[in-house]
Amino acid sequence: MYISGFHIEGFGIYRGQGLHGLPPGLILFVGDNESGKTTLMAFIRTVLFGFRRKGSGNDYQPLLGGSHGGRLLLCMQDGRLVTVERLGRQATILTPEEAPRRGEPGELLLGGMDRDTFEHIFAIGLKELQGLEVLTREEVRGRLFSASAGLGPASVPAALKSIDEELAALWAPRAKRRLNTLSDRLRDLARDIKNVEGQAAAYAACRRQKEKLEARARREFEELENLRRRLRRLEQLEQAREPWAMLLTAQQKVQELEEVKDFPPHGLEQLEHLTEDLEQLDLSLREREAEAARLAERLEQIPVDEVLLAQREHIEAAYGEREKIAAALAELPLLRRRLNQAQEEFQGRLQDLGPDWDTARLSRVDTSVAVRQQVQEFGRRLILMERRLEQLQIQERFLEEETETAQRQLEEARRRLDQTPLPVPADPEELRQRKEILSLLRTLRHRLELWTAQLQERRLRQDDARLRLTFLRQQLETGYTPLPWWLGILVATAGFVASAFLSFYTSPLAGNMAVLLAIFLGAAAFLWHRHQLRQARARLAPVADEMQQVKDRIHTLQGEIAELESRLLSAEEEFSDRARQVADPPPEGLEDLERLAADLDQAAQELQNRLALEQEMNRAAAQLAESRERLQQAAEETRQARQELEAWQSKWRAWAVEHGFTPELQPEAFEAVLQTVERAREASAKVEEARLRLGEAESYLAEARSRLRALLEACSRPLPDEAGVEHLDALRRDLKEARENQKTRGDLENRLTAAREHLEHLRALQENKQKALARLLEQAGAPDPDEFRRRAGLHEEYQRWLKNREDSRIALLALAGSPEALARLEQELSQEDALELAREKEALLARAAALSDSVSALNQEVGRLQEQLEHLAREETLGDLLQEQSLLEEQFQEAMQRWAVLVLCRHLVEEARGVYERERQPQVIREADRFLGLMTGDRYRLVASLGDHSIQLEDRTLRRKDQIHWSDGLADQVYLAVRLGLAREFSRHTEPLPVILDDVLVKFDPRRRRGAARVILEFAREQQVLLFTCHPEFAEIVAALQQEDYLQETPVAYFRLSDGTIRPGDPPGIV
Amino acid sequence: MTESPWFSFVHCADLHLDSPFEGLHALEPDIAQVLRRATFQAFDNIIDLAVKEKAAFLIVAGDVYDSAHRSLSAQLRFRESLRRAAEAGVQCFVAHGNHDPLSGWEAELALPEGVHRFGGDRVEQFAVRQGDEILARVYGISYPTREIKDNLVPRFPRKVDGPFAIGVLHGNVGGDPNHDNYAPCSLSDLVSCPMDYWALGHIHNARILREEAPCVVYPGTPQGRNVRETGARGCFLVRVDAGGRPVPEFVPTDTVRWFVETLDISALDNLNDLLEELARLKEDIRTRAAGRGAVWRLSLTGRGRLHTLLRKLDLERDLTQPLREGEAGQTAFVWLESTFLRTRPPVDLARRRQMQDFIGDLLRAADHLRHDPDPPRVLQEVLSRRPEHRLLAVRLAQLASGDWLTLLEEAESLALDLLLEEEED
Repeated sequence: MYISGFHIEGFGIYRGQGLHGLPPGLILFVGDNESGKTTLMAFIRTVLFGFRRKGSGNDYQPLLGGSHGGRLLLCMQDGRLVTVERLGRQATILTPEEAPRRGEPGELLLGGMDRDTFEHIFAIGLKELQGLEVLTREEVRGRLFSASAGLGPASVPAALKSIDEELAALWAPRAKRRLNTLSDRLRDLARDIKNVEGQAAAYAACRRQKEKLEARARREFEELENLRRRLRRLEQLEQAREPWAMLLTAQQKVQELEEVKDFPPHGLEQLEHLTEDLEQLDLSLREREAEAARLAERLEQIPVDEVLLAQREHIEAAYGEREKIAAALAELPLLRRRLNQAQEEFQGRLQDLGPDWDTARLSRVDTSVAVRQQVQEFGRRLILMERRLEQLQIQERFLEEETETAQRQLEEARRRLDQTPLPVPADPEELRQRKEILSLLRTLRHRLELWTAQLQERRLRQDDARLRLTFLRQQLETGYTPLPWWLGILVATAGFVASAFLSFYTSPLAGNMAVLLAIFLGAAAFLWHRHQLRQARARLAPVADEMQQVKDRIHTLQGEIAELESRLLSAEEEFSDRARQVADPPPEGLEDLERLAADLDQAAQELQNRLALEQEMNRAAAQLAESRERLQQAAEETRQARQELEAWQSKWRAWAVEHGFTPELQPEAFEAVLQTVERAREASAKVEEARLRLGEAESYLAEARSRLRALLEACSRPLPDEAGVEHLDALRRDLKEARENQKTRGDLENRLTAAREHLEHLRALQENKQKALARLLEQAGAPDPDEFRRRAGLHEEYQRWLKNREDSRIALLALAGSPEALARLEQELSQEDALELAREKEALLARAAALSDSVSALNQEVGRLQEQLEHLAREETLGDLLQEQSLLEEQFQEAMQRWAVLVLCRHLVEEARGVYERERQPQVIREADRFLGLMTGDRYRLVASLGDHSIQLEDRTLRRKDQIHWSDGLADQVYLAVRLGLAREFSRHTEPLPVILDDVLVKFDPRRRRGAARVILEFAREQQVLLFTCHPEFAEIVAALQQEDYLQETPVAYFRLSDGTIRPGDPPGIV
Repeated sequence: MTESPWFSFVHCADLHLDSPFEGLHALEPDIAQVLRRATFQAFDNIIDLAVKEKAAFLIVAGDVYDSAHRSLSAQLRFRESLRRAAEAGVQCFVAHGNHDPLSGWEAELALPEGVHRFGGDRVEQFAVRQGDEILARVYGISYPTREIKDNLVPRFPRKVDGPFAIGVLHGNVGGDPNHDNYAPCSLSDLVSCPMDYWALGHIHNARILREEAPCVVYPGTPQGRNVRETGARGCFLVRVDAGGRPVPEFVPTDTVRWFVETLDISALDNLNDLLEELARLKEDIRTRAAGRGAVWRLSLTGRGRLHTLLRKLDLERDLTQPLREGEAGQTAFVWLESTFLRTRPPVDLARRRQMQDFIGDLLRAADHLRHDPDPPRVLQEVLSRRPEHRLLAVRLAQLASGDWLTLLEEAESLALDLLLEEEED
């Protein structure tokens, strides 16, 4: 696509300015600062991508008036001509073949290009040129790296990052299963295993030590046993010595006390017991006799009321009714009050029903369910009828209001219709036809303008082509006279003549030399002639070819011009015909069409209003008629309802009179009357009940008082006038006292009888004890108790010595173990010296204690060693450690191999990236590199780094420079080259867009500027460039470069900008 | 054997008591406990077999335990098991090998009566008697030290007495490259000796080198202890008929069995299919393990759509752990010790290798390394550029050539995964 023309209605300092017939090559605008260069670039940006949002920058309001905006004439890659018009916010796209379309050109024409991308790549000022941030834009990144790498945009950096992260994680300090941790743990395990591995040697050493100690312990134990046996014998002798001495003494004493050998068993105790018993019996006899005397005296002092005791059962029976009599006495006044209250309530109920009501009438009233249902039915029907009558009356009033409203609406609609004027045209169909014609006329007018612009452009191109043709003809016709062909013959002939002359006059050799020279010169002249002819043909052949191409182009343009003229003529005729149909006088220009369109819109609006009013009036009339009809129906229904209600009210009054009620009684009050009747009946029943209970209470009290008087009389008590419960209570108290006295007397009599029987028993017992004492004294041969006691002491001493003799024998036998051993023991006791034996024992004890300690220590040591051996035998730590070591080794191997895989993977990616950077730069970079080479004379080449999307410069010695080391001028060259590379890359995939450069060469020195001009001309051969510059010498550089062969075909147009005007500029002189 | 045997004996070797299971990546305490006891339990199973079959004697042909670690527990429990056999009337003949040379018998434990240990100075012989009858003569020699590089067969007698002669030797017959070449000899060396049965040890896989005259047998290890020792492991019950012809029968004694399984994901569409397939595989292993515990290693291979998903998973957490659930505590457990992801992205590598783009460059760079005359050297050189390489250099040097190529292949696959991620998405 290229911009073939534009027209500015109003934009900043421009108004009504425009250009047509711009070529597809380089368009150079030269202007001073503030001359409108940036405004013009902003105009193109704005028409293509719209105004920026308010507040986001300069929107170039028209300073000299006119509509804000304008048009761009675009020639698309497929040859279509498109006009993009933006007046205000809306953009309209016009093509000769299609109806005008509204929408954004970026979407509809430029393959979805957005403003930002356009402004950063295609329409750039010095500000947008700076930096390479553009390469980081998503839109760009994909194009830069993905296409030739065969990858997604972020694959390589993401892959490297992922690898590095995992590598770092493998060496993280405290991560489980990571190399550091595993290595540390393995080292610890190896140390632990080494410690445990000495177990077998320790076990053997331990076992040897244990066996040695066990042998020594056995030897010492045997010696200790011998010592203990001797010690036991010494202890036996020592223990036997005392019983042996006691045995000898006892035998001597027994012989001395032989005379008191016989004595009553336990004689002394028997004597003491009998004496003590006799004393106790004397004391008891005296106490019992005194007690019997005291009891007889108390018995005489207690009286008994026999009469009262005889009436005991009657008194207790009467006392059983005491509470009942007391209650009857207390209830009697209460019953009387209740009777009075019941009678008063009954009279009150009768008065509630009416003055003429009495008990007889009360009993006649029918309160059955059937009667109640009849009354409820009357009540329900009457209520329903009353409600229906009320509803009908409300409906009637509402319809009356509705009828009045409809009447008012009808009158209002009529009034508004009368006030509305009749529009022209009054027929909607006619109006629609006029609008269609008007729309067609607008389309035709746009087409006419477009075709006129195209016609002008074709004519300009035809003129250019004719000029070019004239120039070529001149070139073709410009004469070129080569060396004449006959000059060779002439030279040869002259040579032969000279040869003959020289041969004849001088020498044959000179003649021959002259012949050879002549032949040589002749041949040289001929060859030179041939060479000149070939050169002329070579020079003129392209000119002829181009002449033919130019002629073809002129022919094509003539055809197109003729076709456009024909189209214009027919379109103008059609426009005139249609214009006459739509108005008189017929519209001519766009303004007439717009005015006419406004008139038609107004007429359409008026016609629409009138039709709406007519419809409204008709609706109001219909509404009024309907309301009146419904009002009549409602009145009839109200009348019928009222008659029906009155009939049922008469029927109810007749029923009330028939059942004993007044005719004024309403059904809803009937239930209240029945309830009053039932309450009066309940009050009557209460009166009867109270009267009955009072009678019963009075008769019971009379009978109870009679019985009480008879009882008082039988008990010989004074008789009161009116016996009460207090008399009954007194009788009961007296009876209780008489019974207690009777019981006390019985107890005393029993105790007196028992005391007398006990006295007899004690006297018999005393006699028996005295007889037993006499028999005991006789058995011991003692005349009195004192003698008895002396003989008893001697007998006891005899018995004790007998026992000592026996105990000593038993003790000695127990020590010796057998009678034979006892004999040996007695013999040894009689022979050995006790002191010698004690000394021997002391020595033996000391030796035994030492041996015992030693054996105990040895046994403990053996036990400890045994435990140690068992512990070692049970110990399975080594196996556990080895298993853990094996596990960790495997984990370490796994982690190590993963590390190796990651490092190798990273190496492969780096290797591939190196190859890629060296051999497979992205197309964008290759294009940019070519442009940079043109600008710098191949001093640098561009290298794109795949890892971080950066750009580096590589000089001829393959040294690379990062962006930070570039000079300003070099940087701008790189930036420009990258932009042009990107613009070229985009053009491969979407509609090629013109590149607009606004003063981007200001930092370039003259040499670089010339290089940049060469690149721009080169670029413009395939893609249009609009270049704005404040340096007029740049135009001179361009003009000079255009003389070079390969840049001659780049069309260049020159314009000057000055204070909002655009003027064509002449090609400057060649510098 | 149709006729009833004259006598029978049990031949085992390479017990490696109390040595750890190698190559495990993860263990639960319950499973670890079973594995720790597995070597002991396997030897107890051998004793049970000898007692049950009323074997006349038992031969242990070396490598009872790993003397490098001098496990006391192994020595004590070995002695107890021999005592049990001797008390049941089974005589025991023990030779020591490179892993348990006589110099490593440090606990100096006295052997129970009925147990005979071969010395290391010369070939010793013991007669096995049944009443007054001599059933067989057993000739053997132990390793006095770990490394015996001499051929010991010439030390065996050229002439033997008695009806049946057995040679007990721990050594490498035929130079098996997978085992250390200790006491090397050839099969013909053994055949030239007048033995009826050679009870060998040292090679961990059971194999019968010669059926008869003489019968030459490696019983292998009675309990597999690493991923290379898969399948049934046990000992030989040898029945000798009246004619003096030995008939060895292999009897499994292992309590835990190793399995290595490979699953191709090419035909699987989603993760559910994979999990179902793995569950089925696990149950299949349980059946094959026949009531014992099983330890298995899984390798996922093949190219397919699942590769991308699997690469994003935490295999330990999302795949291995679920397959381990409920196994600890079971007698017939099937323990997945680790899962290896050897799958490859569904990329036509041959085509991508030809393409002139980044991936093509990368694949060609990998090929360049792969086809180097000495890939381990050049790959080590790449790794040595990293500073942390010095910490791993010793271990890396122990990797085999095949391991290096596997690492390179995994690196290549990882790079493709990372770079083609967006393309696949």
